[in-house]
Amino acid sequence: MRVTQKILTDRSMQNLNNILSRVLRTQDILSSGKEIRRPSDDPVRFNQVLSLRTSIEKLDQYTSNVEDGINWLNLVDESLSSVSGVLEKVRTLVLQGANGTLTAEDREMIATEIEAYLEELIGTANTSYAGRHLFSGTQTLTVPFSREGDIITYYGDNNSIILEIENNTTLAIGFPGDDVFFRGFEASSGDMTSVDFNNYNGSSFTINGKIVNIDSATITSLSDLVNLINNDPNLKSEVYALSDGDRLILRSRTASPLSLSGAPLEAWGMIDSGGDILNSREAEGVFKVVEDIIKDLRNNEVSKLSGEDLGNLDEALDNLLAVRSQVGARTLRLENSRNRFEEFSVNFKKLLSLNEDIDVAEVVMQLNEHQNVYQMALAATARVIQPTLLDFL
Amino acid sequence: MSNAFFGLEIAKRALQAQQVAMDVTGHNIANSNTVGYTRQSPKFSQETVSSGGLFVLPHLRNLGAGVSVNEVQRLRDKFIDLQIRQESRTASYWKTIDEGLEQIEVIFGEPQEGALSEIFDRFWNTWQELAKSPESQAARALVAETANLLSTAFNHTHNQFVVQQQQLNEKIAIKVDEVNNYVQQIYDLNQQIMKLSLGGGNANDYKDQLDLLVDKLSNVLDFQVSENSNGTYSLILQGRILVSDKEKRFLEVEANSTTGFWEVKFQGEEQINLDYQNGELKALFYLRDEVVEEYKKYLNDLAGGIINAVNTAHKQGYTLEDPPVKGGDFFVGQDAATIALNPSIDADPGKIAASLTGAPGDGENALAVARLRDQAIVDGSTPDDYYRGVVSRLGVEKAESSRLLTNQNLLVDQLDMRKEAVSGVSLDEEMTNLIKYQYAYQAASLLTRTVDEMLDTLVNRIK
Repeated sequence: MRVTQKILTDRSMQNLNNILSRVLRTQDILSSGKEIRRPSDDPVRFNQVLSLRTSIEKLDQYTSNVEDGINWLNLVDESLSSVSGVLEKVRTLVLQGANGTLTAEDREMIATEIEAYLEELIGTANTSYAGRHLFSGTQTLTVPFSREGDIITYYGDNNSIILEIENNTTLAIGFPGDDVFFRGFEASSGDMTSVDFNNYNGSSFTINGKIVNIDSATITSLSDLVNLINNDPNLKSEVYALSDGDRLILRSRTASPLSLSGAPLEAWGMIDSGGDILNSREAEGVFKVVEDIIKDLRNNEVSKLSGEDLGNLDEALDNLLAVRSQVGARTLRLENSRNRFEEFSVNFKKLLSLNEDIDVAEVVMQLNEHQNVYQMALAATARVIQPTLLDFL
Repeated sequence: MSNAFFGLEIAKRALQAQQVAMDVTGHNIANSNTVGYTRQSPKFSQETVSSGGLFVLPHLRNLGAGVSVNEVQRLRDKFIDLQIRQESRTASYWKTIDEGLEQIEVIFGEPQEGALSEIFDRFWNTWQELAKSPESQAARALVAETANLLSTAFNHTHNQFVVQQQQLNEKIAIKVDEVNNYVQQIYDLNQQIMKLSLGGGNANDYKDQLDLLVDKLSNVLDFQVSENSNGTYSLILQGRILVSDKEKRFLEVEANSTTGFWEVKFQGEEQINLDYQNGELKALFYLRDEVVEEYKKYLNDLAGGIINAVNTAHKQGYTLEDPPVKGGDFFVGQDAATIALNPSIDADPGKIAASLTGAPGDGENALAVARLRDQAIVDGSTPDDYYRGVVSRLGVEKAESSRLLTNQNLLVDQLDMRKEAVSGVSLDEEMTNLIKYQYAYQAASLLTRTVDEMLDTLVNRIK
């Protein structure tokens, strides 16, 4: 082949450019510490990098969820533990008060002491953490319990706050106050699974004299009806609704019974034609038990104190213990998850680093190699370009 | 051999011919670095004088009468020219595509910080945080703020695609101007070459310029070249003469009535069908109408899927107002260009419907929104998978175009070298030739002197 000076210089320039672009790429990799700077650097690995980053982000979120859950449950457990302590003290006082040799004044003193304990119990039940009340169900902004005169009112609801601890797995970490401390009077309907709310369009019923209108455009299911009652500002201070899936349950916020009327309630099996409630439960719970004790102490009902009251108190303590064991079980589950997540996170981060980060030693070696080649190419170019026949004429 | 002065005549012709050869060599050396220059070479040819007649002996008839340079040749391989034009047109196509895809890569900005994938992670995680503390105004404000961030990121990315399309559109107009400019120059050169060839002149250097212009034009458009007998070129584009020694046609751009983008057509005539084209112009059209449009569509589908799914889920829940009401649309707009957080939510994050029951501590609806991340809400995929798919696809396309461009450039370099091997000026060679011609010139001078002495003897010494 005929070789001209231009071929030599062009070729040398090309080679120098190629080597320099390799040096540039290696330096870019080295100074950023990342091998994948753009999707086109390695599309397959890029996809993995992005996917791993998302997995790590999700895992971090779940770890944070789980840790918040553990903190929350620890607070619940502390509160319940202090309630147990107080109830133990009340139990000792009840035994003392059941002693037949005591005078009415003595019992009044004990009653006053227990009353102070009741206030303490209510205070504990009203504990809040970061602006959220522990025991008001999902009405977390509302102080759950109040006691005025001797009427105890529960302002929360029966729902539990939940936490997503991994993909599509939730854990209830709330313990509504009506399950733990005090539940008011309750009325429930019959099975309502087959009720068609279109048939009740425009009809209404009353709860404690307050009218609830059924509009089938917005009420299509039992849970819509529950929400309607719960979100009604007129009813809010007196009653709340819940459902076990089949039945509508209305709970009074206090121990006093509800007055219900209306054709729909009758059709759903909540009241009879005379307006009497068919299925009802009296108020119950720790606060009720302690309040009964105070009443019986003041009324000198010694036999009731040592019998029924003590029995109820032991039952309340057992119930509390059962709740605490649930709290413990859920805390354990969250702790297991946390440990697992930590392990996952370490593995994912290792994988990400394998995919994304450079092997510094290797890249430095490469850079040196490229630089050496560049130097040699420069030297060769300097020699090749210079001589022509002109130099020898 | 009938003329005593014949020897002088031969010597004169030799001197002239060697001088021309030395001029050509000088021209070659002078242009050794001129772009597009083709090495020239003098074509020596023997001269004979037909000196017939009855009384001339047969072996003395048609004696050699010296030398002449009757042509200066351009040393060029037309087949390599054809190959170079084809391959460098393809290289220009891929270069334009590669640059366009690189710009799209920069627009997505993955996997750097602040890119969309990171904002997605943040967006869904803030819903998780809201699900944990639905009554918290801080968590609500964070959701609103991140939704604004996500909307802005979508708007911004979309806008950059629009800007890229506009830039490509402008480039098309510029390229068409460039083509017209080349057409005019080629036409002018054709005229000059035609005139020269009529007068029997040497048009080598005009032809070099012509070839250079055709090379440049063929990077932009795909056309056929045919050389006419007078040395001019005819360029044929889609069966129509673009330029010849007699006529020229210019191209022009006209806005498409629906898209508003430029279309290319022959001036005052029909549109040019770019389907069968190659080169820069085709690449610009392909980028503008298909590649960028496609990625814009992906982005719109992604935004649309998220808007629909989030809005549908959001409407199932209740707000944090007193009394709680059903949630409205979380996002307004329907694609990446128009997506925005509902202004009423932006003004009051309490309007975010995090609760499924209306209770402030219930975060189940926020959780339902957070879970959309793992649901097939965008064209049968989860939003993460969809987005990753789009960007990976871009990566594959960009890697492919880079690879093709590199290969094509190698091919063109190879061809360039072959062309240079034929047409390039080798200084060594020219210097050798120079020496050769110099000696021939010196020898011819000696011949003149010898004949001169011979004639001197004949004229002056014979008495």
